[in-house]
Amino acid sequence: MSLYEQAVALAPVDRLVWASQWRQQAISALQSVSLPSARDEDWKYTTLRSLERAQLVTAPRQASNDAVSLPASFAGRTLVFVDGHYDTSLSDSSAIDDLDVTALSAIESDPQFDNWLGKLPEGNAESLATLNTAMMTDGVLVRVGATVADPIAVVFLSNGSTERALPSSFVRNIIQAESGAGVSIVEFHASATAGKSLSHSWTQLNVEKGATVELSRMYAHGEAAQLVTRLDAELAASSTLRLHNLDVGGKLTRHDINVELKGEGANLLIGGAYVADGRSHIDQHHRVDHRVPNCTSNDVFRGVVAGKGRAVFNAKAIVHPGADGTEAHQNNANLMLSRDSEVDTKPELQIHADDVKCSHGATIGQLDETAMFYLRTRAIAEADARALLTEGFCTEALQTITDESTRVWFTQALATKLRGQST
Amino acid sequence: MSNALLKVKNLHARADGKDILKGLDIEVQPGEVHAIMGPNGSGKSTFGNVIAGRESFEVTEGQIEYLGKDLLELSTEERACEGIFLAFQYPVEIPGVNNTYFLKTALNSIRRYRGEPELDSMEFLKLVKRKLSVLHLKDDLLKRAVNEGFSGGEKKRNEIFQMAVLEPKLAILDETDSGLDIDSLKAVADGVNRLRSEDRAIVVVTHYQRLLEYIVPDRVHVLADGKIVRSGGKELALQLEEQGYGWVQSA
Ligand SMILES: Nc1ncnc2c1ncn2[C@@H]1O[C@H](COP(=O)(O)OP(=O)(O)O)[C@@H](O)[C@H]1O
Ligand SMILES: [Mg+2]
Repeated sequence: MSLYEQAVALAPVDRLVWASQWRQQAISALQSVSLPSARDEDWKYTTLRSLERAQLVTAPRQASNDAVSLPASFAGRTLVFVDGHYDTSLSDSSAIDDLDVTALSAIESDPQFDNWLGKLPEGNAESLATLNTAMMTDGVLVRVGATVADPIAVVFLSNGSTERALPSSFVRNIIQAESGAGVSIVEFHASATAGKSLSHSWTQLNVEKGATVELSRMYAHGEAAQLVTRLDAELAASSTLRLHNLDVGGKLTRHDINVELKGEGANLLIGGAYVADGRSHIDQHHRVDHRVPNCTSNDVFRGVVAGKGRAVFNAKAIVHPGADGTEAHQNNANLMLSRDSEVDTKPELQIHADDVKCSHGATIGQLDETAMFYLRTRAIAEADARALLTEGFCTEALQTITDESTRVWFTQALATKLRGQST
Repeated sequence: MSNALLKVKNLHARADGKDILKGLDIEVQPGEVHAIMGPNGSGKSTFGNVIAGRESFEVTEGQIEYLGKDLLELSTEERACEGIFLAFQYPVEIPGVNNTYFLKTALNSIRRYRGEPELDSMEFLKLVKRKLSVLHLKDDLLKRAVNEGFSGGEKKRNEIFQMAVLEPKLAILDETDSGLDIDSLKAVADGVNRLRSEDRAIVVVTHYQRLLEYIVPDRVHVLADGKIVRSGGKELALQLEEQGYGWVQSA
């Protein structure tokens, strides 16, 4: 079935009724697009071909309390979505009392939504975004006007299946930090039950003048799960976005992160770590557009590949004409723990302005033999030594998470993954 | 008949196709301090690495007996659990790995191996604070990553600090004196001397006689081209200082 046929069959037209105008628009747009293929430059290393033959179905929307495995130390409110639907019983009862945090399914229309839901990127490379608008069931809306003290966790759980049909979910998140506001948000994506699944999530983010957003995203799905995400962010003058991504699960993962620096003096950090082991495939695609002078962007990722794992890192920063005084740096370092693993890394800079400070670098290395020996002479067993070194290597890219309970949560999740990781 | 802690017989070892140790013999009793001296490239670090079990060095001939066991049968970490400690000539920087966490993991591995209860964070902290002050190291060193950004002297003192925490039976100190100013040298020597005990042996590998003024050895050996070419008492170190290595090598 084509994407269009799938959407016609499955689109949840009774959900988010206020959004049906955009949903219908997306469904008809799907008539003229298909899944991205290797012919699309940005999809050279990652294929979604298996989706062509898949029959998408809705998932059961149920999860047990145990599936929401947040550490006790995490200090914030929690909203839980199961298979793309807000789950009241699993969420904190107070979570959406405030007007600033809510589920899309809990609100009426909003005149501003055309800016978000009406946006449909064109072309095959973007067809999953169009599919998201056609198929979205729910998501979180965070709209803050002041500084929010505690972090907010939004949990997305997906049920898996061993049947032929592929359970799928499509969520849409909107985050808006108004002028001068500050907020720290965690997106935690994981499997509720084992088996294959397809989860698509699209987060749109607007950081207004002088606002600060910290968004930390963790993906910890089971080994048969497929995951495609998209993030679009716009940064106004003197605003800050600190975005972190941690990938410690899944079979196939593709992240598209697009950030527009639109106001002078905006600051962007994209940091994170990924562990591609077993047969997993993790693809990071970042694009940062410096449109105005004196903005900074840093993109710092650490990765570990093991087993038959494969990682793709493609980060592009474009400094547009007139964006003088730009500072843009990209760095991707990888540890390769097995012969059968693979890394394709390509940081890219396109500079069309003057007086810029830009740098980019990528490395792929092995574990340092001397460091391994050093740890083992201190009685640390070989497997533990390897875990310690890989953990030390990756964890640096998570130290820039400023919310402490989030940072502790993420670094521990990384450590747990690396200690149990097969080579 | 001997109750030697370490007994090395006719040790031959190579790395990357190069023969480095060529029939080394040494015997160390518990409680003794030995010094191994020798010119650069004579195989001193190789000896330490082989005793500690580095896999990139291959033992092609000879035996190593430690506490009556065949040491060559044991992995690096098993040797450490059995009480062997190597202070590195070039201590390794390990970014992202916290010094306290690292050392606590190390100590608890050893305690687990010996069937002793592991220490919790509080107990461990109390223990290390006591040992830090002996070596004139600052507490903040514990919060940093292992050896990262440490000065040369701090790295060397950190090795001895680790030794003090892990309390080995056989410690090999590979040029722990090199690159130290006189105050650091005294702090290191003082730390080592406090660790001298009846059931612990220490092998001090050094290039210079200077350290041996502060850590007075029971035996001194001269290593040249992969073999011990001369052994004697502490006066041998002085003689080497005055006359250089030429006369022993040609002997
Ligand atoms: N991994 C190695 N591969 C090849 N040669 C080595 C290796 N390690 C040491 N060597 C060589 O072995 C000799 C002895 O080295 P080393 O034990 O470090 O000497 P020392 O510590 O006495 O200065 C030197 O010639 C050195 O170049
Ligand atoms: Mg040496």
